[in-house]
Order: sequence, then C-alpha cells, then structure tokens
Amino acid sequence: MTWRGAAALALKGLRRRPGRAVLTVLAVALAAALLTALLTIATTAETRVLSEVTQGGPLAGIKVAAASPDPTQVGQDQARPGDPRVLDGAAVARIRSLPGVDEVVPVVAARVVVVPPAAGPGGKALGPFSDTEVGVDITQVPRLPVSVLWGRLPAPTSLTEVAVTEGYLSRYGLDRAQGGQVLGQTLVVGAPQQQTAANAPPRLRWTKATIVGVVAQDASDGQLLVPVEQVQAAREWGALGAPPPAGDPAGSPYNGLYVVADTLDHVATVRTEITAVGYSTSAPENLIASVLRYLRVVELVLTSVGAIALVVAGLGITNAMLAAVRERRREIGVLKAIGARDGDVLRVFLVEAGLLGAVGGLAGAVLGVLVARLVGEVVNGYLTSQGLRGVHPALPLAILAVTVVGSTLLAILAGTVPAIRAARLPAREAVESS
Amino acid sequence: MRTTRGLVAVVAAALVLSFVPACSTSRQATNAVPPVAVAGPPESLVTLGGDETLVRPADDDGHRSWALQVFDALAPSAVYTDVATEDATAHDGVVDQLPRAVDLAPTLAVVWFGYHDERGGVPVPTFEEDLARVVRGLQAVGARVLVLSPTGTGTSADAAYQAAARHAAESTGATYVEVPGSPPRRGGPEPATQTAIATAVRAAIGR
Repeated sequence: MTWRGAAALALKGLRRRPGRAVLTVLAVALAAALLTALLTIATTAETRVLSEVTQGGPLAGIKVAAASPDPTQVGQDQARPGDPRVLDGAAVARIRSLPGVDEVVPVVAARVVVVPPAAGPGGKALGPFSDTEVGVDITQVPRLPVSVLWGRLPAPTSLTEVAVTEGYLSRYGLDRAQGGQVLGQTLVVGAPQQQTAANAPPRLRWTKATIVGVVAQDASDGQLLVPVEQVQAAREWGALGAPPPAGDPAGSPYNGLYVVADTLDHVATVRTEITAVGYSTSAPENLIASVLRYLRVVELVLTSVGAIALVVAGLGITNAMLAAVRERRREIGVLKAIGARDGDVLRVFLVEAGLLGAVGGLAGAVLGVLVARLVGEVVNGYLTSQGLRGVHPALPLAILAVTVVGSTLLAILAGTVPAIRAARLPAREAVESS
Repeated sequence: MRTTRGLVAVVAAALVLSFVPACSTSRQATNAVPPVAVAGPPESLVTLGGDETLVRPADDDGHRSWALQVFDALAPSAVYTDVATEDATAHDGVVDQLPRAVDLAPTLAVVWFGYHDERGGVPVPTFEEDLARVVRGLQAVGARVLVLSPTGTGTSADAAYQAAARHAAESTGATYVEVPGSPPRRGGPEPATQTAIATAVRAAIGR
C-alpha cells in the first residue's frame, strides 16, 4: 500500500465519524492555540522588556564617555565616569579595531541657547534657556539607545528639524502622555561663539528647528536630538571664536561613542578593552543577564503549560483512535484478507492520527496568533493610557512551525498504540467480528 | 464531507486574518509632523549696530527682541547672526562689524547706528560717511540693506543724525526704515517697542 493509498483510507475513516474527528481536532487546536499564544506573548514581552532596559538600543550596546575610567566603577552597569578626556578620531579608530566590536556610532554635542515659541502648550511662554544639542547619524539610530515616543526622528542631514526629550516636556509641565502637544513647535537655536574680550557676551548664530518628535534617548546628556550636521555647523561657528570654556562639549571632537559588541557574551570583554584604551564605559549587561534569567523561567513555565495542554489533547487522540480501531475491526480484517500487511494497516492509522494533529496544530497556531494579537491590543490600550510605548507582537514563524510540527508528531505518537493494536489484529478474527 | 469542508474554510479565513497586519492604534508612532520644506538656498540675516540692535534672546518674561521677531518671519532654513556690539558707533561698524558681516555672506542686512555717535559727539558728516561705507560694503557681497533710524525724539541733534541716516540710505540705494525710538538700555528697547520695530522691519521686507 502506498502512502497515498494510506492517506485516502485515513481520510475515509475520518469522514465516517466527522463529529469525533472535529472534536479531536478542536482539542488539539485549543492546546496548540494556547501554546502558540503563550510563546508569542512571552517572546513579545521579552523583546519589550529588554528594549526598555536598553532604551531602544541593541542588547550588546556599550556607552563610551569622553572621560577616563573611574577605577572604583569599573565593571558597574552605570559606571560613573572619571575626569574628562578628549575623544578624538584616533581613539575612535582604535576602539573600532578592537576584537569583538561590531559597530561604533559617534555622538557629538554642542551647548546652545534655545528660544522656545512665544506661546507654548497651554499658552505658557518659556524664557530662553541653555541646553545641549546631541548630534547623531540619524540612519544609525536603530543602533543607539533612542526610542521615539511621539512623532518621528529628524530627517537625516536635516538642518531644520529636531526631536526633544521628556526633559523639554517637563519645562512645560507636560508628561510623556502629553508629548504630542509640542510637535510642530519651532525653536530658535543659538550657537555661541566665545569672544576674546573679557566679559563680552558670546556672539550667537541663530537657526530654526521644528520639533518633529519626542524621544527617550540615552546617547548623551541633552534635551535636543538632531542630525550630526546641525551640531557640526554649531561647532564650526564656535571654532571661529575663542576656545570654549572648560567642560564645554566642544572641547572634544566627540562627546561619546555607542559601541555595539558582536554578541551579548562579548560585552564584558569589549568593555575591558575599551577601559584599557582609557575611556569610561557603561552597559546594562548585569541587568540584562538578570532579566534574561527570569524571562527564561517565565518562558519555561509558559511552554510547560502549553505542552501539558498538548499532551492532554494527545490523550484524546489516543482515545479516539482506540475507539476507531474497535469500530473498524471488520474493515481491518477485509484489508488483511485482500493482502494488506500489518505495516500497511499501521501506516493507515498513523496517517490518520498525523492528519488530526496537523490540522489541529495548524488551526491552533492561527488561533494562537489571533489571541496573541488580541491580548497585544488590550495591553497596548493600557500602556498608551499610561504614556508608555506599546508592544507589537510579531508573527512568530518559528513558533508556528514548532506548534504545527510538534502537534503532528505528538498526534502520531499518541496514535501509535492504537495503530499497533490494529496492525496486530488477526485477519480472520477481525472479519468474523461484527 | 461538509464538516471537513467547513473546517477547511474556517482555517483558511483565520489564516488570512492572522496575516493581515493588526491596525495600530498607537498615536505615538504616527509621523504627525510633515517634512520641513526647505526651498532654495538659505537666507542669511545679519544685524549691525549698537545696544539697540544687540540681541538678547529674550527678557525674563520671554519677550523676544525685534531682531529675533524679524528672524521668525524668514524661511525655516534661514540663519541669523548678530554682529552688533555694545556702545558701537558707525565707525566701529566699518572697522569691526563690517568684516565679520561680509564673511557671513548675508542676503539681508539690517543696520542701526546713531545713538552712540550722537553721545560720543561724532560729527554728523563723519557719521553719515561711515554709515554709507557700511552699507556699500554689505551691498558689495549681494546683501539687501535696511538702514534703521528712530523716529524723532525731539532734539535737533537727534533730527540731524536721523537725516544723515536717511541720506546715507538714499544715496546708496538702501531701504530706509523709521522705527519707534527709545533710549537704548542694556536690555534693549521695551517689549512693546521691540514688537513695533519688528513690525516696521517686516513691512519693509514684505514679510
């Protein structure tokens, strides 16, 4: 008997008792849906929690400050930097060449004077204030601890767009949930040029920048996130005057780096190497390791719950198949009488069990994704009401594949005993039974 | 048979639904702000003068200086640099401020001298000549020049310097703009005067 013939007989057997087949498939589908939904939610939650820990940056990200390392802080997640130290192109090249370093993203900054609009949210007028413009390559933001809370990032190389942080919102007494109120504001930004004459005020070069987004960023201290070109223009203007005062960001070609290690396991090694080069580093590696451990436990528990449900469904398949064998004894006898071997009969019932598992697994996987998305929407509603970023459950193809394949294999396993029993039925005994 | 077909139909529908991206209701991820339009080369505004021009970003109440109010009216890509200095006379404008301004390649320049020339006793013809040199120097690099002078404050000396400023503007083809006058102080004109000055300048440049 060919596999095709076995499949045809299996389908015929399922159609004989459609109600029982549907109920068995439903049991497998519900178990598979539970497993899929739990794993999808667990994976999404893990991604979201880790993203929050790294503030949107890569897990293997390391923040390098333009400062010497404090010997008492080495190895700490949030190491306090030591004395300021110039971070120039040579140092960046040296760090980039270290083993285990995948990418290096420079950060530059400039002190500026900011004049907000005459009328802000709620009609409140703010006076001018000094702050720091943080300049990054906008195309590299996915590699930085920057996450968009409202609106969008400035366009790459734009000289007229800016994203602000929650620190700017707090100047208006706004919280994260109200960030949208500052979108579209135009700031007037003045880059200072120090004068040589004593007590002479700096000469300011003014530009305009429209707020296009609100971000959470940990790339460098500063409430304004802009393309690096804006900071470079401000620095070029400042360089025409007297040297900047001590502590001014313009005193170092780069104000920081964001280094991405090639794997999470290499973060500690890369940090040690950068410390040896002479710069202070910080990275939430210990925190990430702790979080991952707890998340693994949660994932294990959830997977176990889903697996238990599948096993219960498997028992249902065993029960259904045993009943089917009892009812089809005569059919089995006829098959053997016309020449079918034990192996052929075994094949028919294993295929039948496998079909139940495959269909149930597929339906359950789809249902599980729908449930996970529904849960995601409910969670998003809560998160956004709290002014937090939402979650976006991804389509977990690996989980779907494991669910379908796992359900099929489990069903085949569950159907093994009934199939063996059917295969071993003596032909004469089977034919004579009615 | 019908039950099997029905089951297949349900599974197929669910498959389609699950692959349709869930509608995101998150307002936070919207690109709410359209790209900032940048048309043509950026405008470059430069102001020259003394205390009445020197830009303080704003006073403690957030009132903006007249120069920044004029800058507000320019294109989003415009750049503004103030090269004014305290106690500056027109001669300071020629010697110190003009070279700085020329380096900035301005497209629009606003010039306001006179108060410290009068206080310093600079002869009116000298003041007029220096002012004209500043204007010509700016025009040589392609800038449109506005010469500001306050409306009459009463004294004949004021009137003489105002007339000289007007004549310097007219003789060089610059735009002469009369603005509300008040004695300069370290913080610049009063807020209401700042706005009135800005309104006059914006009217002169058609913004």
